[in-house]
Amino acid sequence: MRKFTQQEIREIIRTAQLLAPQFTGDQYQKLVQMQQEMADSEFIEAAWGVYQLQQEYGIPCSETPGKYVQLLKDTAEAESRLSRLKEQRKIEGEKLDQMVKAVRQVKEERHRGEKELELFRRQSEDEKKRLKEELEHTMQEAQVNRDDVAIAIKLKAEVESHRLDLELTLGLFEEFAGDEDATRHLAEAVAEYGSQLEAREVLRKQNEALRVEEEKRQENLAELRTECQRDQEVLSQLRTDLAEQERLRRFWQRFKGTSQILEYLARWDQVIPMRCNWFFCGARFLVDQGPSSFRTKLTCPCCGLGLVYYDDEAFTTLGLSYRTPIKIELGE
Amino acid sequence: MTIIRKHIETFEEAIALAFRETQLEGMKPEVSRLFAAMLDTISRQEVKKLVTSAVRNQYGKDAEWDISNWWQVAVPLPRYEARGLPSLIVETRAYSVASVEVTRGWGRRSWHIALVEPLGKPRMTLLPLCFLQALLDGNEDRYRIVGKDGRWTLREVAGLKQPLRLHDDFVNQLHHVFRLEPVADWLDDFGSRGHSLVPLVVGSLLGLMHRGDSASVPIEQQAYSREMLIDIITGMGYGVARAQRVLERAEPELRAGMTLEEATRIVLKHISEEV
Repeated sequence: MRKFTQQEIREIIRTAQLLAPQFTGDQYQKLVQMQQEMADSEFIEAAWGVYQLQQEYGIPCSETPGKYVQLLKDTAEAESRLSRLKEQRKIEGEKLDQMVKAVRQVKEERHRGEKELELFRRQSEDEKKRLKEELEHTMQEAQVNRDDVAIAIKLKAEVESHRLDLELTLGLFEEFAGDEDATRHLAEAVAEYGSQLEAREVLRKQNEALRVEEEKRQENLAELRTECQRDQEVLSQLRTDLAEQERLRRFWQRFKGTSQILEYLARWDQVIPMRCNWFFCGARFLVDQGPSSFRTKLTCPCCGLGLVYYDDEAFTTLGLSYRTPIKIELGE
Repeated sequence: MTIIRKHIETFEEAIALAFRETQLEGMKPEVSRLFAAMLDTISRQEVKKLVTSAVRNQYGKDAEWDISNWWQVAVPLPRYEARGLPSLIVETRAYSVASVEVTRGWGRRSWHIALVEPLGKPRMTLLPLCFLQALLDGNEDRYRIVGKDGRWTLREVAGLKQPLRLHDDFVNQLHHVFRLEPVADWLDDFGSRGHSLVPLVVGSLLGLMHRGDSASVPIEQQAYSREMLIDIITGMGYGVARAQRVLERAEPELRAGMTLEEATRIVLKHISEEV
């Protein structure tokens, strides 16, 4: 905002007074102050509040402070009520959430139960179907039909009406059906054991005892077989040791005379087989060159001629590398 | 016609050249844009004629030239008038600023020049301060529209012999300006000349604002004006010429801010001396 100088202000007031004689310097200052206050947003807000009070509630400016205090109280009360309501809403909201969760859980459980029930129903249907098929198949295999089954049921009822066990009855039929001399066998069994049933029981026990005895015998036989196998392994080891001892003995007998020579040669740094190529000599000998470098120009220790060369035959026979000095190393 | 060896490309540069031509200080381009609406538009042919004359005078008949661009610039010069209805009178001079590329007929080299030429007579725009006050208050509609000529509107303003004729664009822009800045700042945009008018215009506007309250003030206690004193003297049966002579004699004793009663006493004394 532009600031006027004192001179400009005087000129403004004087010019204004030409048109409005009652215009004074105080009015000008008030106007300037008002302009400054208009630039202040808080002042505008306050003035707007007073204006709204007057327009909306018909409260005159003089009653504004009292009304303002009352409104402040009302606002505080409303805010506290609002906070209470918010808290209540929060609690209710939490309750509602819990309820929704519970309902959701119940729904899920119900859904799961329905699924399980459906699954069970399908399984039972499958099982029923399978049993039916199995029954059909069994009946086909057994070459029976529903009439036969009905007869069997009737037969079972008949047998039970005579206070007999169906299994036992069938066992007796099985026993005596193919026996042409069933009457005689039955008489013998009765004579020996008192009844056919007791005879069967005695025989069953005897069979059981025999079976136990047979099992024990089989166990002993297995133990004996294991022991025999172990002894055979020991025997095989002893035979191997004996063969090795024999081989060593023969080796000792053969090389015990030359062991001194080998011990002596082992002390050489290197052994080189050499040969005299003179026609009338042909001597063979071993050379230890010693620490000095090897020399091929040697003289024969027998004829004294210098026709000495490597003994290639010795290298080949001993399977050594061609013309490489030999180092003899003995074992422990 | 002024020729400046410079290449100008924008309207702002053209405005600056026109302001330099009139040797104005501190004037802002915004006021030139505002008063441009009050000018009659000139045609390219007129500009071409002006440029042809200027280039031939300066560079000879064999010079060739081409107008790159041209602008019409308004240079407003405000003054305050308190006689009768207090008003702001703006004398708007129009300048043609052309950017021209010149080549001599026998050469290949070319260069740019700027031609600044005043156009016609200045246009006088009368802005009664009561109308400015109405614009500031946003109730300029209280002035009855008595005529419309294209984009020009004639309003009847009490105290003016002729209806006030203003371009609609000018009024709209002025209305927009007053929403953004106070009158004092707007006058400062005119430079030093506008700055000197600020106290008078602001004082008059304040007086107009509070004039409604002056009804309660007795007329003898109101500040005198020359017109009031002439009315009083002629009302006594003297002629206007005599009344003016009396005022000339009383002038050394009269001062601004004096009440009508005090001024009348002095005038009466001089009438008796005149008789």
